[in-house]
Amino acid sequence: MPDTSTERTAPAAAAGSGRTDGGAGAPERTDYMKVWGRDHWFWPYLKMNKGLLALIFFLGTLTFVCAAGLMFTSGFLISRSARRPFNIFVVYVPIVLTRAFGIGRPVFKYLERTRSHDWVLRVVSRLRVQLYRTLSKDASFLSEHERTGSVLSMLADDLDHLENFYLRTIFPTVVAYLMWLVVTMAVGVFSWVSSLLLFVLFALVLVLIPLVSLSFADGHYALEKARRQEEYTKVTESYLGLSDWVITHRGAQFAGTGADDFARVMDSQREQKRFERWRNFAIQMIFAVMAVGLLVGSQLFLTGSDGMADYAAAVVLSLFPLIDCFIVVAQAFAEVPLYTDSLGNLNGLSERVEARQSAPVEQVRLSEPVGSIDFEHVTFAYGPGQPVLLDDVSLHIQAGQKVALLGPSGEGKTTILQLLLGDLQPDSGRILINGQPVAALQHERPRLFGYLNQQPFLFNTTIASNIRLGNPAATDDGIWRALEAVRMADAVRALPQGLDTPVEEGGARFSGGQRQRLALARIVLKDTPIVLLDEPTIGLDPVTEQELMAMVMEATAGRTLLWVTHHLQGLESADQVVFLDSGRIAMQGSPARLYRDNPRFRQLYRLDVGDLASV
Amino acid sequence: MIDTSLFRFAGIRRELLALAALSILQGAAICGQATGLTWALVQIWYRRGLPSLVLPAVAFFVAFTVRQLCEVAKQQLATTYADGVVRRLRPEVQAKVFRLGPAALNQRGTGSAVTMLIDGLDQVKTYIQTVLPKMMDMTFIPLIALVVVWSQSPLSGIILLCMLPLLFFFLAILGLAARDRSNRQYAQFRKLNTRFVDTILGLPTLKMLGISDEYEDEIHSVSDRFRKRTMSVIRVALTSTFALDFFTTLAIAMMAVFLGNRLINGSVALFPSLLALILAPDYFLPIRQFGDDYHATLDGKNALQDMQALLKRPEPAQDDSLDWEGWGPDSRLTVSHLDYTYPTKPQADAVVQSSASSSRYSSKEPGPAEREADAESAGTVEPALTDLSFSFHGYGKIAVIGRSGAGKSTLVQLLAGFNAPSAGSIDLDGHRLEHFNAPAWQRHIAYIPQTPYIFSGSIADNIRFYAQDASDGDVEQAAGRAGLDDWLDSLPERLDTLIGEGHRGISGGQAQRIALARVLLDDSRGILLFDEPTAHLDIETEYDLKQTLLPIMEDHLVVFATHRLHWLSAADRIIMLDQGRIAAQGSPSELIGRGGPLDGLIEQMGGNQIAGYLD
Repeated sequence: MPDTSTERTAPAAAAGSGRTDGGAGAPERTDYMKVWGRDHWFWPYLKMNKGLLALIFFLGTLTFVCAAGLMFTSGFLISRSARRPFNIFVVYVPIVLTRAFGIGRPVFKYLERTRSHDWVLRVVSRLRVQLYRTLSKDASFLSEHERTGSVLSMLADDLDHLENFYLRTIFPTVVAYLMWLVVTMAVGVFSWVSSLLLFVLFALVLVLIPLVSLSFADGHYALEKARRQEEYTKVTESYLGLSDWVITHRGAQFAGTGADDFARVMDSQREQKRFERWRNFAIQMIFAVMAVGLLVGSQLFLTGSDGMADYAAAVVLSLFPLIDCFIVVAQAFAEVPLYTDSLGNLNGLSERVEARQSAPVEQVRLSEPVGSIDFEHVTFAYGPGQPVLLDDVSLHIQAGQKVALLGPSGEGKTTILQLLLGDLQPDSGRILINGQPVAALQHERPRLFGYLNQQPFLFNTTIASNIRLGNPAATDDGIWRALEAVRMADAVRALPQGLDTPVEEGGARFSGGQRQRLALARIVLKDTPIVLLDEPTIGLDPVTEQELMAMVMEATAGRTLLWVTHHLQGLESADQVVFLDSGRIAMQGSPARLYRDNPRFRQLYRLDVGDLASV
Repeated sequence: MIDTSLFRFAGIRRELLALAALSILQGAAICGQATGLTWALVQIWYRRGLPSLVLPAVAFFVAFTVRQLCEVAKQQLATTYADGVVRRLRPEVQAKVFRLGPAALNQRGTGSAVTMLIDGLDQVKTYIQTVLPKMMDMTFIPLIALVVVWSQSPLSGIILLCMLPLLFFFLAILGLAARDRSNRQYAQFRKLNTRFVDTILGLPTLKMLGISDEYEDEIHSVSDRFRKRTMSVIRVALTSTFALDFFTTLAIAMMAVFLGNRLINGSVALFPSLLALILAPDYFLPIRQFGDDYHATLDGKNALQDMQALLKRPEPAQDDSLDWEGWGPDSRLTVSHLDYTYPTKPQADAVVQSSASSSRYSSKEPGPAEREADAESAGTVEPALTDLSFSFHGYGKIAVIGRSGAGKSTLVQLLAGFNAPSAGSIDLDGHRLEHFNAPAWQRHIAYIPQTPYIFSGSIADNIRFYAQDASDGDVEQAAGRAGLDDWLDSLPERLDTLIGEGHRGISGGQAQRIALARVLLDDSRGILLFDEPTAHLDIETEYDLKQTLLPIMEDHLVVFATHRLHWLSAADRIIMLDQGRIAAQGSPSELIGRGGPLDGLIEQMGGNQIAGYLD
């Protein structure tokens, strides 16, 4: 959903918990068929490296075979020894087996755990690349969500959920089902009737109860998610507005913000916990019934001779280690809604990206230098029913011109830049460079444009690596020159680590103005013929703003510059000023001419520079 | 894994006693269950016929049921207790956040505080409900099992007892060493994860620079390193589990073989041997389980420590004794020699940062207010105020001007009572004050920051924030005076339109107007404090808003911090701050055009360049 509202909307949009699709409405149940039916993120990987996968399942099964085997042979060993055979060699085989199973269980478990983690991490590794590739295919998705980086990082969280899905649900469930098969067959050797009875009891534990669990968890998961989100939103809003709460002295009400959502989540969790407790109790009781059944069965079938009776303890005792194997399946199913949700998000992303892939345009090369940029009768809206942001806009820019774009917030200034880049396609009209449509110049794009948005992104690495992104071949000298151009060289030189100073997460080490300048240094280094800047001075104080704009003009000398701004300061160096209003160009011309001829411009300009003539 | 602060919760003793009693009862039931089972198996071994099996089987079944019921009861107790703790903790934390005020919250960061409240409480809950029953189980169950085994077969008792120090040795030495190592690796592992998120967040930038394809390889190699790193973390953890597992299964195998030998010698009977074998797994179980959820409980422990550090922070003093009727035309406020120093950032926050570093990205992008605070603190050193003396008399507009970091916002926040001065005297209509954190004062002020508080709800609800029982007519009128009419007319539901997160987005100008309407609705607020009211707005919105603001400012005491020069001509008095000191104060005509410090600032800010255009 395109966010066509303005930049400074409710602050919680950025600080809240991210996705806004939860809302307060009645939680809906997951449509499993829909999510799992058309999937790009799960099935393809399950088919990957089948040999290793089979080995993992085999090792997992073997772990429990050993656990049961240990109790089986120990029980047998003790029962047989109690008959006091005259020779120790009578129990030699059970002794050896007891030791073997005793060592085998931890060893196989270790091997299974390491193999399965390795397999999953390999899958996740590929999933990461897939996520990256999918995202990078859709630039418009990215530009829409530039400001809400949370959406992107939530997708990364979804990958982590998938990782757990394999480890916590898929693997234990498959192993439990294999053990179900093994146990049924092993008991079948003694008695087909007992085997059938056990099979039915196991079906309760492995099929019926997990499905009930799933259905119970589904409703609760949706409710908790929606409520949690509400709580996040409300609390974040109230924290951002704390000053207003303080001066109205409404501490009690403030403390209660989101409390009802919190209480609902707590209640829901309590219900879930209660359900889990009694569910596990029920499963345990089924095992108690099985144990009693095995006792009775042993009495009925294994008391033909002393030799057979020695197996009774063995059979009954081997049941208990299996509880660990089977009891986890119900919980594994209960977590499916969470994973399905994540999978749904990822699949949704894939589908959106696929749907938005526009028909490929034959790409051309731009042999001659950029001469002109033209918008011809461009009309654009984010979709049917959305406000028309640009309505029949035409604009001609000569190479080397400096053009300032102004207008109220949300009026499509940024959209013009995105249309020029080719990230968005106009509903009608053409955007041309040297007479070539920009859609056909996408391969040339990195060579043509340098673009700086409102909150430029700095990677959590060194200053040098961040700037070198503009030109991977740049020397340290080149980087210093770029830093000189943006007036940051002295500041960087003053740092103990110089160019190798880490900028920290999101560039946290530097102030807003410094971050802008570092990002600008990339563009200086890149040396593209067209430079696009989106409100480069927003949030800066006038002195810094003044310095930054002067520096930008100097650094982009000889290049074409298009900059979106909300202030008129520094405008005197523009060749052309374009005011947008209601999707149309309201004023256009050189600043000096506008100042002379246009009273509105004069008024705004006087306001902006702080006309003190009247004082 | 246990934190001593756990023992300071209300009712913890009773809770622990009840859990201990249940653990002891469960231990007894475990022994009873083992006895019943052994007894039954012995009957089968002697081939005594089905009736002889009834009593032991019933005994087993009853004891088994009691054991599971104990488990349910323990879980129930622990969950309910944890529930109660968290439900009591939430309002405490909220009340503390409220009393510490907006300045402290900004310093900590809104996002991190919200995370602490919502995710933190959840983690604390998991921590408490997991650790309490596990602790009790480990204390009592092995002991009871050991006593019973020993009484039946001292040799088996010795084997079990010998294994105990070995287990603790591995739990402690190997486990702790591994945890130390794994903690360090965990940190690196987090770093790599952050790196991936970082690259995803920076994708628009990479795309723009035309190097997104090259970064696909980077993602792959980061991911691969990530996998190896994770594997080494996991391997350490798995090795310690392996050691624990190995020694427990080995103990059981050893015991079975020893007992087998003794049985053949005839020096021990079947019943005690079998009982020892059956009890052995239950003897080890609580110890093995204890170390299981280390990382899950670690998060809870950190969150709990963080909350307790917050609750211990000293609160700003509040003056409830002030008896003052509000600002009138004859009111006078005199402030002399006021100093203010920023408190140093509390250390506790670092804990959260590290433990929540991955979740910080996921949903808690810093809000705009926070970003601003970041920029302020990163760009300058310790904005403090030194030796401020000024006096306000009656109604009037006071502009506080200066460069970023000169202390403008600090002064306004001081006047609002969010910060307390470290020295100086305040005289308000003859009342002596230490600071402005006095309900009687705050009842008469309105504080409007750059991004006013907008919460999700209707526009009318938002406007009613200061005066909650205002009539619809008054709200309508206030909205009109605040210049909201044009916008409201474009909304079908007018004042009932829902705004805020998840609803209609609003622009910065509209948010300011809503905040103004709020003030207009409550005429008891004669003092208006503005912190950069128009700095983030585009020039046209700023112009329109100024036209609305000017008449509202009449008949009020207005203090506005700004770096926009155009406000100067509208001010009755100007206070110019430079590095926390008053550089100049007086009426505009006294300060402008006299070659004083204000003229220097205006020059730097690029004011009064109109002359250039007229050439």
